[in-house]
Amino acid sequence: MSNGSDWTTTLFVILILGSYLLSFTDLPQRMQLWRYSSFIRKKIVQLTELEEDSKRKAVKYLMSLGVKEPKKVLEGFTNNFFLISPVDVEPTDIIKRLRHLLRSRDSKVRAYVMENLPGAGEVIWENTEVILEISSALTLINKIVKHYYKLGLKYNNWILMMQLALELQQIVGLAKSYDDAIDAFMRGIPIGDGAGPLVAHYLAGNSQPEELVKETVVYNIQIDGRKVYIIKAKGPGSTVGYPGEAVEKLVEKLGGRVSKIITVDAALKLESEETGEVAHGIGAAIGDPGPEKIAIERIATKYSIPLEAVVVKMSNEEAINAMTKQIYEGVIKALNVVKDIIENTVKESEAVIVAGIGNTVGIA
Amino acid sequence: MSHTLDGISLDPFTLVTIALTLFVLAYFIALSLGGRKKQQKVKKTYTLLKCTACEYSVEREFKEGDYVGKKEGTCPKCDGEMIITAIYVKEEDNSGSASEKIIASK
Ligand SMILES: [Zn+2]
Repeated sequence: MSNGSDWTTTLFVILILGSYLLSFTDLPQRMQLWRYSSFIRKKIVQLTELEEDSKRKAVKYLMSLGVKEPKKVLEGFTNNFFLISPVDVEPTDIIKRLRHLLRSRDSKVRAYVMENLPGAGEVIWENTEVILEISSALTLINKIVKHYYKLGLKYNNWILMMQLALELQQIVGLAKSYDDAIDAFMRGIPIGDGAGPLVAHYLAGNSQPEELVKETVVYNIQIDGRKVYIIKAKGPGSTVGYPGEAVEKLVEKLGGRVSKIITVDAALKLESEETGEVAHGIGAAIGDPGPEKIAIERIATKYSIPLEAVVVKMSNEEAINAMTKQIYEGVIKALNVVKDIIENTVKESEAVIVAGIGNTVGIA
Repeated sequence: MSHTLDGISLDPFTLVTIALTLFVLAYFIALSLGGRKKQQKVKKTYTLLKCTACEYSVEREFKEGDYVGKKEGTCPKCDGEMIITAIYVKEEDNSGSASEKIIASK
């Protein structure tokens, strides 16, 4: 059996050579780069499909509204309407500047939609805006992923490639939920983020709203002798309104005689938390880029009004998609928590403000 | 090299090669099977209507134009006004027909 020992020697030599190749060259990294890049290519195909699908849906929606050149309208929106953040190394006035930029963008987007859909009405304009925004967000996500993929290939940056590949699963999941979300906005179904406005809607009962600031309404009701002012975005179109400005204006109107401000909002859950869990705490529960939240904080501080927050927990995907039954059940719980806070901590004849924060699509 | 051809006798090299090949094959089979086990669920949107006068409520499938707060029809029990109080999605286990499976996999 001399050939047996021959093979043992060959095997030994191969093992030694192999371990040299693996330890002292970047061959393993090259192989990883190749493997990860082929994985990323597959995911990019998926992302592109999602992008195309969202565009198809947007075009279909625009066509159903009688737009003659829906593709052109969509293309005119995608890639345009970006927002450059204000200078932050000199923070003086930054909120004012940011607010100004956000408002300018809002009115520019509205002008664009109105120009293409004259006479369609507020609800349709609002829903169209969101559908265009989602579609262009998907284009942006796809572009950014492609950007890092190409950079990784260009500079043989296998760490970048690996990071991108590991993140992609989550990114594709988010993109998929964006694409799904378009359906909810096309059909006017309340989304998870509508938890706050829904609580406000239930609390308001059948009282009549009054438009306090743009796209934001206030209801005035009595609960056991307590004056309750309820603020929410004006429905049932897709808008979040300007709750910060509304709270500020209302508190000033009441001369600061408010014993409590309660904000109700959807909050991102941690992975271990259940959808629809309700929690309450202190502060302004609102997730805008800054101006609305700071307006609530400033006015509460100015008059020393306690600021309480009630949140309904959900994932990012659930927040932008059609409201699930669990979230609806969370809304009912949150409503009871708000009622409890009012009954137990606000004295009779005192005033309290409840602001339902979030997108009010499908909720009048 | 003729001595390698007569061997059904398994030398260490062949053994290692076979073992490695089997391992890689098993790995890929396990990977491809693992991905397919996901349970498909069907999502359906429902509209909940409640009577403003009595406790009567009814759940039906969502229709275009529905929104929370919309008044719709009268109560079959007391002739009171019916109002849409909630719209939500329910996930249902896919034990149903083939057509439902197609919807779920979209
Ligand atoms: Zn009835």
